Formats: sequence, structure tokens, C-alpha cells
Amino acid sequence: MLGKLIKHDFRALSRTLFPLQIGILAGGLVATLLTVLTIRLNNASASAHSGSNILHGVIMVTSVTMSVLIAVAIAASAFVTLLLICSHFYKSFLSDEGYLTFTLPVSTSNLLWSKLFTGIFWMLINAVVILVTILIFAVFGTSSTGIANFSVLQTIQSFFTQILPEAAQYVSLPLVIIECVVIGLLALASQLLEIYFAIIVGGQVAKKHRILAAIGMYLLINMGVGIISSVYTSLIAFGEGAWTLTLDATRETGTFFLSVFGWYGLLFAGLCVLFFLVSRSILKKNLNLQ
Amino acid sequence: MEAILEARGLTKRYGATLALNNVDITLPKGKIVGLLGPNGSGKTTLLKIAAGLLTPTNGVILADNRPIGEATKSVVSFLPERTYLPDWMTVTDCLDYFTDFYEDFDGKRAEDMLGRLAVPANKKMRTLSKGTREKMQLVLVMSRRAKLYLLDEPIGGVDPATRDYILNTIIGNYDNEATILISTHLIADVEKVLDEFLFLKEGVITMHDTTDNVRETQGKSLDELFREVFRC
Amino acid sequence: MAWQFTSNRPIYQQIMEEIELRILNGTYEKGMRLPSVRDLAMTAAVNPNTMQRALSELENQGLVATQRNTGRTVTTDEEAIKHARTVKADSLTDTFLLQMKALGLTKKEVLERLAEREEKEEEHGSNS
Repeated sequence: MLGKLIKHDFRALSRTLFPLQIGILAGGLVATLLTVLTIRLNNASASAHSGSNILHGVIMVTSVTMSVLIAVAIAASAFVTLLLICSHFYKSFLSDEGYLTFTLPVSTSNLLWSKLFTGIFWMLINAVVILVTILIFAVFGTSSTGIANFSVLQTIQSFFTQILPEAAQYVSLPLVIIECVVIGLLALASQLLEIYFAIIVGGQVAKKHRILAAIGMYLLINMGVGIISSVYTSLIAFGEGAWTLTLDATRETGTFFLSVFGWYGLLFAGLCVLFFLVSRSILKKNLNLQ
Repeated sequence: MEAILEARGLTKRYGATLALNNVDITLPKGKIVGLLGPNGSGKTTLLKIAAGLLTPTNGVILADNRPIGEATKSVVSFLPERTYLPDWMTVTDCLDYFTDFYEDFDGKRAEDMLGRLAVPANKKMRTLSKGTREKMQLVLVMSRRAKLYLLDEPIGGVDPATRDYILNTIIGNYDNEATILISTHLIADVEKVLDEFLFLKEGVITMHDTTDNVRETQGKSLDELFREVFRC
Repeated sequence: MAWQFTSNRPIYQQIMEEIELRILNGTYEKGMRLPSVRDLAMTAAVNPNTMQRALSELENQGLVATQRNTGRTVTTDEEAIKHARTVKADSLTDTFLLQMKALGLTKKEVLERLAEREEKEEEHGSNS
């Protein structure tokens, strides 16, 4: 059943998110082309002693403005992706569509899991798409000579050929990578669950203006989470710090690094569990669809 | 006799309002039952609780001898008063959805019925007229081979021809192992279709009898009796 | 089209009367196989249990029979049909006479009217 839920949630989200991601890539390509054009024009006019300064100026201004707009749009796309994910969550659970959702012969937990997995999946896709778009722009859009900007490629390459091997001397690379991935996912999950929770509570508290209520709830919850996190991390830091002072600095920085990360992972996991369980409880006991 | 729906002391409170007050019901299998009462009498609340969309404040309710939950949802088919299918879904999407989640969904039957309604497969819900959309929802709900059908005001707000179609679909779908519970305030239209009826007045069941009995013992139609009982 | 029912008598009884009528006037022929309960219920727009009850009662009265293989059929028993027709006709006649009496007409006046009617019809018949 969970598989089917995921399949349908994914289908529903793809409807709007897939075109959006394509749009981002397309926007990135357009921005890249425009900047390339601008640079070429610049170079050409510089060497040809600009006869048409005005035309040249207009093209410059337009393409630069467009590039900036597109850059802003791409950055905003992450927000739009999140918005669409939340919109699907809201519609599915708290609007009339809830009549369909909550009469399905599935557990409330599975309903939440499906929303969590598909939400995380699409946020990751979006992140990858943005990264790729930026990369394309950086490599192909910023070179003043030739097609590709080789210094950018070289910087990227040096990360893999120089920085990582050096870091490997201090820490176990595979472990750090896994830990980063796991904790990254947990952080993402806890954020998403926090937002889902805010939407649910917002729906409980205000029958009208549910969106405002959800946002308000989110800010409130965020403050609460912030307080908990600060208390938690200061306790950990205090404990860890006192312990580390007594040990060899260089080698132990690696372990310190890992263990601090580990504690963060625990925090995020704890928040995930908290938001999941409370959300589920509200949906099971206090659901009141209009 | 095994009851398909049973409630004992069922109560639902919303803040200060008592929507259902100590309701006792036993519904047998193989009957078409009317849940009759004026607007706001608690009919929708009762149906939503049986469908698993609301939790009672007090009392017990069982469907197919089990507490309401995941298991009962697979044998209970609920038709809400609202349009609850997503706007963007096409007819085919909806059929897929029901086929995936409900083992008892008879896709062939649904397709036949939709064919007779001449609804094209790739039309989105939002492009259908209100009447067609409601028929679509009815078709999906009635195409499940469920044990208990809960229909919330299926004929309110539609034209007489659609009303006939809906009642006809209900009759045609009758199965003597399943029970259909219809809530409505349009008594005259549904009486011929009902075996039994419940009167629900301000959250309280005031009568539960067969439609034949009313005519035989009181010489009145159900509509006339209703007007008497619920006189303003 | 759905059958029409009045409000004060049980529907199953009214269904019985309608089916009986159809048998008596030949719409449902002797020995004819009747549609299934569900189909009849859908045509009449009534609850299938109600239709079932009506058909069972008709079976008790001998107007309808259930065969194991062919389902429900109209009876082939001419006597049963004749009897039903007699009972029905008597009942309608009684009602008619009562209604006429309520208008203030005597039996003699009623018979005169009936004779007049018959004459008129015969005239019409020979003219056209």
C-alpha cells in the first residue's frame, strides 16, 4: 500500500514539479546563452571600435537584466518547489480531497510516510537541477575566451584531486560522506515534517485563513525548535569541548567533527520522530474536514 | 442476524454542540436504509464517523463487526456530499486510483456505467459539469463491491433526471449481502427505494422502522409521516 | 418510466395490483418469462426487496410461478387468471356502484346510463 501511495503522490507532484525543473534548466541555458552573447559582443565591439554604441548598450543592458532575473528565478525555484510540495500536502489532507485520502484503507502513518518520501525526493531533484544549472552557467557562461571556462573546471577538479585526499589523512572519507548524507537527509526530513506539522496545526486552529495560520504556526514552532536546538547543542558542546581540551588537537579534530555531527544527527532524528508522531495523532483523532 | 453497522451510545460533541446524542443503531445486511432528518440533524456526522473521517466523543461503533479503522475502510464505500475528486485528475486517472487502492473495485462495471453516461476517458474533473461530476463520483463508489455503502445526500441539488439515474443506479447495484445507507431530506423521492428508515432529530434517533410498516399501520406515506414528526 | 404509486397503501400491494393488471389484460402473456427481480425493480424504480415481496405474494395467489431453470413465469393456469379477473372486476364494480350512489344516482339510473352509452357506441360503430 505504501508503494501505491508513493506512486500516486509522485504522480500528482510530477504534474507541476517536472515542468518546473525543466523550466529551470531551460532558464539556465537561456541565461548562459545571454551572458555568452554579452561577452562576445563586448569583445567584438572592443576590437571593432564600436560604431553603434547605443545598440551595443541596449543589448548589454537587456541581456544582463535578463540574466539577473533568470538567476533570481532559479533561486526562487527552490522556494516554489517547496511551495508546490506543501500545496499538495494541504490539498491531499485538509481540503475536500481529504474525503478521498482518509477513506483509503491505509494507515495514517503510511499516508505521512508517502508525503515525506515524495517531498524529500523532489527537493533533492530540485537541488540537483539547480546545481547542474549553476554548473552549466559557471562553465559555459563565464568564459571570455573559447567555449568553456577552464579555470572553473580546474577548480572543481582540484577539489577532487587535492583537497579531498588531504582531508582523507585526518578523517575517514567514506564515513564522513555517509554521515553528511544521512544527516543532510535527516535535516531535510525534520524541516519538511516541521512544515507539514505547521500546516496541520494551522488547519486545526483556524477554519478560515488556514494558510496564514499555518505560516504563523510554522514561525512559532521554528522558534520552539530553535530554543530546543540551542539548549541541546550548548549542552553537547560543553560536554564535548571539556573532553576535547584534554586530547591531542589535530587528530581529535576529526573525531570531534564526527561526533558533533553525530549529535546533530540525533537532534534532527528526534525532531523528525516528534513531528511525525504528533502529526499522525492529530490526523487520526482530530480530523474534521469541512 | 449479523449486523453490518452497529452503534451503541454513539455521541459526538463539537465544543458546545452535541451533534449525535447517545445513538443506538443496528443495521442488517441486504437492506437499503434511509437516514432521514432535516439539515443539521447529525446525518453527515454519523456517516463520517462510520466512514472513519471523524472520531466519536463517546460510545461504540462497529462496521462488519470490527471497530472503524483501516480494515473497515476496505469494506465501506463512502460518497460525500462534496466534489472530492482532484480537479486535475482525468476519468482514467480516477479509475486507476480506485483500482489500485480498493481490491473490491469492479473497474469493468465502472467503465460500462461511464460509457453509458458518455463521459470521455481523458476528460479532467474540472471540465465536467457539476451533475456529471456527481454521477462520476457515484459510479466510482457504487462500483466497489463493498459491504456497506454510505451515501450522503446523493440526490440533493441535482435535476430530476439525474435523480432518477442515481436512484436507478442504487437499485441496480443492490446486493443482498450489502447494505446501503442513504442520508437525505428528500423523502418523497427515495421512499420507494427504501426497505427501512431512521429518523434523526437533533442528534437523536426517534424512529427506526420499515417503510411497509408505516403504510400498513398508519396508512401514511413516509413523506407524510416525516412532515408530522418534524413539524416546525 | 417509473410506475406511479399512491401514498397511503403499501407499495408492494400496489406493485401486485399493477402486475396482476398486466397479466389480466394480456400485457404479460400466459407462460411468459418475467424479467428478473432486479430488472423489474429498476423499471418500476422500487426497492428490489419490495418487488420480491410482491412477486412472492402473487405466487401465493397462483398468478405467478417459479420454475427451477427459467425463473419466474406468468401462470398458464387459465382458471387462476379467470378467477383473478372475476375478483378484480367484482371489486371495481362494487366501487363504481358506491361512487355512483355517492353522487345520488339510483341503481336504475345507473343501468339506464350504461344502456345509453352502449347505444351511442353502436351508432358510432355503424357510422364509421
